[in-house]
Amino acid sequence: MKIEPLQASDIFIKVLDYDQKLSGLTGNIAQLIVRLSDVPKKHKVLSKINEWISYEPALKRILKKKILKDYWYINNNKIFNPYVYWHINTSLEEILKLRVNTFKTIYNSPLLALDFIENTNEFTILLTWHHILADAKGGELIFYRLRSNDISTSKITDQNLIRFDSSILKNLNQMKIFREKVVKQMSQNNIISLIDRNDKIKNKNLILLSKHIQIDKNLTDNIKYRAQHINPIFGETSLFIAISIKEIHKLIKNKDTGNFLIPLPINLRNPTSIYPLIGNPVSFIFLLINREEVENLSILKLSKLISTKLIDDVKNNIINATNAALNIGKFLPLRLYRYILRNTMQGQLGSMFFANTGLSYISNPAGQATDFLGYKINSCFHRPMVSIPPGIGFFYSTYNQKLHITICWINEIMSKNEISNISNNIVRNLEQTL
Amino acid sequence: MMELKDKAAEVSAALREFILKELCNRSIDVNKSFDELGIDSMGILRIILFLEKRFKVNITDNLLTIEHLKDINSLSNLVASLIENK
Repeated sequence: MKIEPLQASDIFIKVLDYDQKLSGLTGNIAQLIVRLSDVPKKHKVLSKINEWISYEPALKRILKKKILKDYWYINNNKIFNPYVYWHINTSLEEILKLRVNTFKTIYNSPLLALDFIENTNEFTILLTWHHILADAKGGELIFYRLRSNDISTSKITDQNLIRFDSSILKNLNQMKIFREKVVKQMSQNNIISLIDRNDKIKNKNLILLSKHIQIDKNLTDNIKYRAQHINPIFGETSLFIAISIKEIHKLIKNKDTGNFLIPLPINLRNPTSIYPLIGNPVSFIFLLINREEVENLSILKLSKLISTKLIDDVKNNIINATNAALNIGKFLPLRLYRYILRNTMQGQLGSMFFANTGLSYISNPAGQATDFLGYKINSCFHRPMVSIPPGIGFFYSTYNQKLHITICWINEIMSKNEISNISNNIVRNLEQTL
Repeated sequence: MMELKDKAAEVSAALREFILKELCNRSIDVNKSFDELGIDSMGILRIILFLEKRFKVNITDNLLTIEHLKDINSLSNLVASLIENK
């Protein structure tokens, strides 16, 4: 069978479109790596999780439907449980291999897994979940809900839960079939990769690798202060995007890749909702940045430009327009839809960005982050899947008043040396811009 | 005719109501920064759009400064002065 070549942005948008059509979800596996200051008592942790499973309204709905039972362990009491493991003297890397986070392994991944990793020097919690269950904030909210004392009194009032029942679960199998097709397309040689220097990738097992950088409190405060002078609303986010896209640009400097299309997830969750397991109200702003702008502007000027574009996009209701554009596929023949996408979404996929610069759900008002038993969180890194191309993603978030940066990349796409250079450049630029 | 102070109080009341309904379900301290209230950048922009629509003012890019976006009071004062100068 001849497979028609797809452009990068087509693949990405097609995935988005399909998921949004079904449920407003962007399909993905996301991970949250949390390092604690101390080792919690195992029995307390497990008892807390069991309590949570009993009372969590969204979970109860899932289990009642039993639609997801294949993905969950069942114990002797006929109660469905998420994957919960307690590992001793095991490295995080080994566990990450178990919970491999790539498009190719999405079918084998549990919808929700909690790995507790106990080592002499540190204690780590790895939370892995499918975006069908929760958005990026959902991972934090699972912690928040586990921590709260009033979970048993929670009522199902969120309209999103109703949506979760009626649309997502019904179409789960359909989504799996669709994803297989996308994966096949992605592994073809004719897919144009932004960073396609290594054509061996098509024969390799795709593994998501990541590097974590924690910025100290003084520099985090300093970055925040300086970024406000770039723009008081989107200064930090724009600075992070500008620094990251400059690094991507260096990797493709000698190639004619056209302009950059940067998908920036926008959380449309009602901020007053504390339900972790809901339909995912996420949309995207697709920032289109000219190659010349990335090439010629300083980081400072590029950041200012990105801030202006972001404000204009939101003010001009581009988010809703994007949603509408992504959803219009429901009513059009596929070929026509793809033709429209090709001609309206110009630009090569730049990278995935997630920037969470405000308070997090696992922080108290003073900015101190604790886990659900009250143990202090030393560090916390988001680790979402990244698509190919470009095969690299940048994720910035603040916990305990410290900036945490995760650089995720697909194996074989870049060398350790290149990643090391990228991370050094990012830190240096964060220190020096302005 | 309403004094500038009264207008600012009216804007502040509308703003608090909007924030409580849409962005933050905790009690609101008007002297706390938006960041301290847990309102992120998208939230601040939603506030700007709400104020523009509700009070029929245009908050241009050059007015989006650190001083004006410090807290509820400073933003209310800005909008009150824009209403005054219409």
